[in-house]
Parts: sequence; C-alpha cells; structure tokens
Amino acid sequence: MSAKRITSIAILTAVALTIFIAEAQIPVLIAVPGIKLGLSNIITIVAAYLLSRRDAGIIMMLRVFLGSVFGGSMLAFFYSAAGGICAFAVICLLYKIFDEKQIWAVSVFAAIAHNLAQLVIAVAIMNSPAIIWYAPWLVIAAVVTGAFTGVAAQLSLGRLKNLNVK
Amino acid sequence: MKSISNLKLIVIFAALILASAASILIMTERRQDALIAEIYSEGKLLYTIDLNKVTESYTIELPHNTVLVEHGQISMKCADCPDQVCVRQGKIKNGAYPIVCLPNRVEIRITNKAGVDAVTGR
Repeated sequence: MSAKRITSIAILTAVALTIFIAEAQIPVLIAVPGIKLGLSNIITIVAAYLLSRRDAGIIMMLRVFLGSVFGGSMLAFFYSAAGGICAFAVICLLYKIFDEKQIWAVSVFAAIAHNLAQLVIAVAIMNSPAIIWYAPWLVIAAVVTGAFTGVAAQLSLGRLKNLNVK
Repeated sequence: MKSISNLKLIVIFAALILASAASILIMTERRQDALIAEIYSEGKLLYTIDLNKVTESYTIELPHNTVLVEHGQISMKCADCPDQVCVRQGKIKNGAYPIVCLPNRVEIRITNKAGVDAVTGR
C-alpha cells in the first residue's frame, strides 16, 4: 500500500466523517423514521470513481464505524453498516454499466438499496413486520436524496479530476 | 457502455416516486372499524388499548417516552431522543403507519384484530 493511497483514504475518510457529524447536527425535516440526506455518501461515490472501488469500500466502513463511535450508538452502527454495505454493493455492480456522466443514477440505485436494507434491519430490531409499510416513503426519499448526493458527487469528481489527485 | 439514456432513467425514477406516492395515499386513507392500539417496547407488547372505548384522554409513561391516548387516536407526546421523529409523526388513527421511535425501540401500532377484549395497563 503506497503512502499516497493511505493518505487519499485517510483524507477522504476524514472528509466523510466530518460531513457525517455535521449532518447529524441538522434537525430532520421530515417526520418519517429513518429518513436523512446522507451527505457523507457523496464521498463513497467520489472515492469509487476517483480511487478504486476497494478503497471506497474501506472508506465507507471506516466512516460508518467511526461515525457510530463519535456520534451514534450500537444500534446506529447496525443501521449504517447494513445500509452502507448494500449501497456499496450496488455501486460496484453498476460501476461498469453507467459512465461518469450518469453517476447520479448509480447514486439513486445505491440510495434505494441503502434505505431498503435499513428498513429490513429496522423490522428485525423492532421485531415488527408492520414497519415494512414504510417502504414507499423510503423509496421516495432515496430517489430524491440519492439524486442530490449523486449530482453533488458527479460535480465534485469533475473538479477533482482536474487536480490529478490519483 | 451506455445502455440507458438519462431520459429513460428519469422516467423510471419518476414512475417509482409516483407508484410509491400512490401506495402511501391508499394506505393513509384506509378506514377501519376496530382501533386496537398496541404499544411495544424493545419488541415486547406492553399495552393493548381499544381506542374506541377511551372516553377521557390520558398518558402512559414509558422509560424514555410518553404516549398520549385519546378517543380514536393515539400519539407520542414526548421522547428523550434528539431527533423527536416519533413526536412529530403526530396522531395515528389507522393501521397504515405505526409510530416508530428507532433510538428507544418503541413502537405504537394499530391493528384491526377485532374482538380483543383484554385491555391491559389501564
């Protein structure tokens, strides 16, 4: 592992963690359980396209773990990890299918996978099958937030490529 | 490899939103006769209340939450968690969407199991 790779992973993890903690301070606007913007996912996508998918996975897991240590709980860790892993799997699957001008769409699919994974975890943790009825809410939220974070990631990547970070 | 155009993607996502919104509307408008509220904490059923038989509103104190029980409706009055999502979910009158407090693992659910006589807790 080169020093440059370690540094890139460390910097992007720090950025993702900062965004994660900052976002946690913003009150949730919608009174539906489990919905938030998920701004730190911008970094997961940026890392997947800027570095590699493997590094993006490392950054995502580090952010999820450290995010729970600094600003969450054990429960929050399970939700974040399940959502993060599923979203990451979708990014890996769609990486080759969509080009760099359609990162926003990859982000939407990843967000849907993220939210549905969290819903399944919620059903298990709360021991309540009725919670599954929140699925339509979470799909709508995923399309909106996923498109937003995806566009943000796409624009950031356009700038970062010029800096020749890799 | 570019297989799907942006326009097609937008149509797919818009259709997904519309289908979800439609199902939410159908769920929310659903009426039901029996209003049996169940209050769960950490996956265990603590209270079963027939909301149609409630004449005077009262509150139930849970370790981290306060539930407001009224005639025909039920809501979370307060919670000690930072996000307060369960409080802002407001009053529920049917079984469409349970009130969920994820941090404290509390859930208020309305079922349509008719013929439940056992009213515990009060």
